[in-house]
Amino acid sequence: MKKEVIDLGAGTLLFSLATIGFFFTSQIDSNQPYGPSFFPKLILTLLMIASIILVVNTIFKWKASKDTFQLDKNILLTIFIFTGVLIGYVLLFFVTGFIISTIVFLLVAQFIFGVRKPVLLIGVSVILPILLYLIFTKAFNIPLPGFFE
Amino acid sequence: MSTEVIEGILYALVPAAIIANLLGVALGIVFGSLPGLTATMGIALLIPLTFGIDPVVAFSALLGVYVGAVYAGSLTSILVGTPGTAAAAAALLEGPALTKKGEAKKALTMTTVASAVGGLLSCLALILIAPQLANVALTFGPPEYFALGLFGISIVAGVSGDSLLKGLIAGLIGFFIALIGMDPITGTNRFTFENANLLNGIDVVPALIGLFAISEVLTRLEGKSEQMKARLAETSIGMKFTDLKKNWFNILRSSAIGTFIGIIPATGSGVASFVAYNELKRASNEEDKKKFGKGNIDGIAATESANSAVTGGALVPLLTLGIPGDVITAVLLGALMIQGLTPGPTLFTTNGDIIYGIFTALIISNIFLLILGLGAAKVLPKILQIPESILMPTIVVFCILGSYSISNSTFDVLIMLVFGFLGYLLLKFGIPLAPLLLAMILAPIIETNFRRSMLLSQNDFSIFITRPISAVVIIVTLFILGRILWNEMKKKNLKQQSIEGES
Amino acid sequence: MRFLKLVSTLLLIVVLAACSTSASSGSTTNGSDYPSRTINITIPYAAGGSGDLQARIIAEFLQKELKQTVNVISKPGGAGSIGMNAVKSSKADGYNIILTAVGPSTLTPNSNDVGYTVTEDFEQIAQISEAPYGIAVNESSTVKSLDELLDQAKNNPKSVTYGTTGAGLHQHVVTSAFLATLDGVEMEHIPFEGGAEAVSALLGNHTTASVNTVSEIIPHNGNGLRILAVTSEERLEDLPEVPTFGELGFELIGNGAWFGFMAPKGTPEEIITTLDEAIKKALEDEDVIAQFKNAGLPIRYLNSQDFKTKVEQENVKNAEVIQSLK
Repeated sequence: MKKEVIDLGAGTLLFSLATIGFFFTSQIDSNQPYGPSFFPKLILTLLMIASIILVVNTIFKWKASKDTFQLDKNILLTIFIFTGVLIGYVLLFFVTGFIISTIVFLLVAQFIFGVRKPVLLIGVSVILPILLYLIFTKAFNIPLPGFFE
Repeated sequence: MSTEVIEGILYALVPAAIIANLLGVALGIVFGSLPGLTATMGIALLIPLTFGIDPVVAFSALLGVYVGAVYAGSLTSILVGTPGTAAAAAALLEGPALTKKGEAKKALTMTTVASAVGGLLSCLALILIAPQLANVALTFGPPEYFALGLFGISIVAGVSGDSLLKGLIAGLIGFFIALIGMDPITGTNRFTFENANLLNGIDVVPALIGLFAISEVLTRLEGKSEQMKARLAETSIGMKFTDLKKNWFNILRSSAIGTFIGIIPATGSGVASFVAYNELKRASNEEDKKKFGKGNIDGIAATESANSAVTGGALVPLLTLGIPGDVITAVLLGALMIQGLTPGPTLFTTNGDIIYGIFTALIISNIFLLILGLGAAKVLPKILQIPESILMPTIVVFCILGSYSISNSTFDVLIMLVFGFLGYLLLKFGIPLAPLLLAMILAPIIETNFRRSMLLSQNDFSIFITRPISAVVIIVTLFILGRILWNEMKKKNLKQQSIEGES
Repeated sequence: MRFLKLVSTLLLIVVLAACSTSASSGSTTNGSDYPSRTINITIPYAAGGSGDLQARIIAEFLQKELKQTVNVISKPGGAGSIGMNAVKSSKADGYNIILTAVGPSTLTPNSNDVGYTVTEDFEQIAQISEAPYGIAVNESSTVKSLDELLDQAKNNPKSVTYGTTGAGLHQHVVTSAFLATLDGVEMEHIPFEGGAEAVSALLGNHTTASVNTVSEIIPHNGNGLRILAVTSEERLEDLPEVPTFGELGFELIGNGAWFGFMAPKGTPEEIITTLDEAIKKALEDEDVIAQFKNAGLPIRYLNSQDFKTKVEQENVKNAEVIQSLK
């Protein structure tokens, strides 16, 4: 695929988002000439113009361009999984507090990043969260949602 | 008068004050280097301990935390690409690239030296010309702030990388994000979707932690540990004296910028770092300009001296007028008042000795900063010896911890995560992140002050050009913007010609 | 496959652990043994502000008085509603209380749908402080009194401006309600981000007048600024020559920025009483008094009942003004 596809995609996506955003600005009521909706409208209009320029520029470059890029399916899959893991971590953090969610996350994430030695994997995953929890809550007096409430 | 000066200096030199100062700087470095822990939190934590303690001793500790935390924010930025403040995000422009080149130690040493020099120079300004400088702060009304904000926007070009258009897009996205929340002038809700968490807008800190750190972790995941191996071997490259020598004017200029921006309330160290970086870049010749963004030690010298110079500058309006310019100085104001000291015009005459004690404490803090920082510059690069497979997950843990503890808010954790994905996506689109952050910081300054000006002048635009400071700043900004556009056109024509020549 | 197995095993462990901890917790809430564990004071503001400071001073005293750890937790954001909601939804057992203020309790819920009403969802424990506001002009101004300021506004509609801490905040609400009672007086409101910004704009002569907490303007009185009137019921000790709005014949809907403790609805009455008495004692302690005085925070204690009445009254009045501002 030609590299320009990325810019084309970015431009189109931004233009659509800015248009949707612009629609929402009409809900902001305002009776002043430079009221609450002035800047949102201004910025979103500029964003629409900028994304149109990006798209037009890209179309002009299209023919001359020789750069290509390839999607690596493996990388894509890893990123996809890790994204899921991050979301899972945050959700688990809300439910179980800091320590447990972090232990689980560290186990999984280190595995994905390629740690295979069991001692290292489990050691880091257990010691780090407990240590951080103690430092934050006891030494810095910053309460964390935790296991020992 | 002179006896007051000597008495004050002696207050700051008693063993208790020195020890408090040292511990303060150390605590500040810890708080600053952990993303999500801020100077403000460190100081707020110490204030109850200062009840009933001698004021100069108390302030030795508090200023130590302040100076240490402002300095240390950049350490983690440079080493592992995880900023905790907007000012630390400026260190990302050159820091991580230096680390990749194996020059982490050099970068950290420069950070330390530049910070200490910046801190000391701003201290000097504070001691010698504080009252005169304070009046400068007062001449800044809404139109002047608006002009200053516009000037800041011109920096977007300098931190955009290859494509000005994409930098501009990034800036517009950042500006838009800053508009979310209750409107600052009328209180009208904008894009809040009935969610109370969004009323006060999106907090910059969790957003920037996500934008820069999470996107970095995802990027590293793509190329699992390739760069890491190359780096491990040579983290020992240190800073040479010539690096410092060729940067003396740069540091001086950046410190002046930092001090000035510190004095103007409500602008902040993030803006100072970016302005200093941009001025350095503008002052460079065409050949040197190409070095930026690829690990240029000069850039570190600029951003770090500027952000530390803000400390002395911010104390000018605080001590002389009793006006805090940012959250940290607002907390310091509270601490001063707890001590029975009311900052303001009368403080210098009624409590001259304590003022000079505070000045001396600030100087000592910067000296401790230099000592501890040089030690840290030797030790900290060893973090890079931790395998990336362990370091990256750990960074994620710190991101969660940091974004949560900034306001004890789970919503901020979500914001951090969303911005992490956003940052990664934007990087894939080739859209730079620095302009986005810069616009996010500047947007409130620009918007509120534009609209305040309109209220003051009853919608008459001439308010911006009939006031001398704002007129000058706006004309300079227009001139700079014109030049940027002109250069961009020229670049395009050259490219066009070369493409046509090829075919 | 092995990876999936690992994840599912771990998840199981987590779920089991979570269940076992929640099963073991559970405590008596009748209040007879109160307090038997750590008390959390939430503040709906960021660490380091005046709310935080007051909470920490009181927390230190309560810790000694009640012989239990007292934590201060800052939950800023949502114009104060985040902290309020956090406490509203926590257990009504006296271990989760909030040091809140006029804004989060009577302004935010009236301007936005934030999911709570102060009178229905909270028990009032005690008011601890009330900082009056003052209206000031630049010292170089020809205006010498409040009447002169109002006259000037009458003769030059819209060109006379006044700054406040921010849009929709108490200073703004009180002042605009005051101006609305006057005939033909129009002043343009310029909101700033915090009191310091408003004061520096007035010092720099960018606004005509400014309404601020008096502790923010007292240091400048006669030294850059001139305070014309204060919102307190009686003249202030520090400003004996400055009249009150009441003396000048004006009625206000609020006398200042108050702070007070509240607990979630349904907290047992004995616990409220225990806390109320401990807080009263704190405000009579010499160290506490000195610290409040230094910080420029006037102590103004109201007991549970009086505080409740005041909140009810102000809530109604503020709601009216906020509707009219929209």
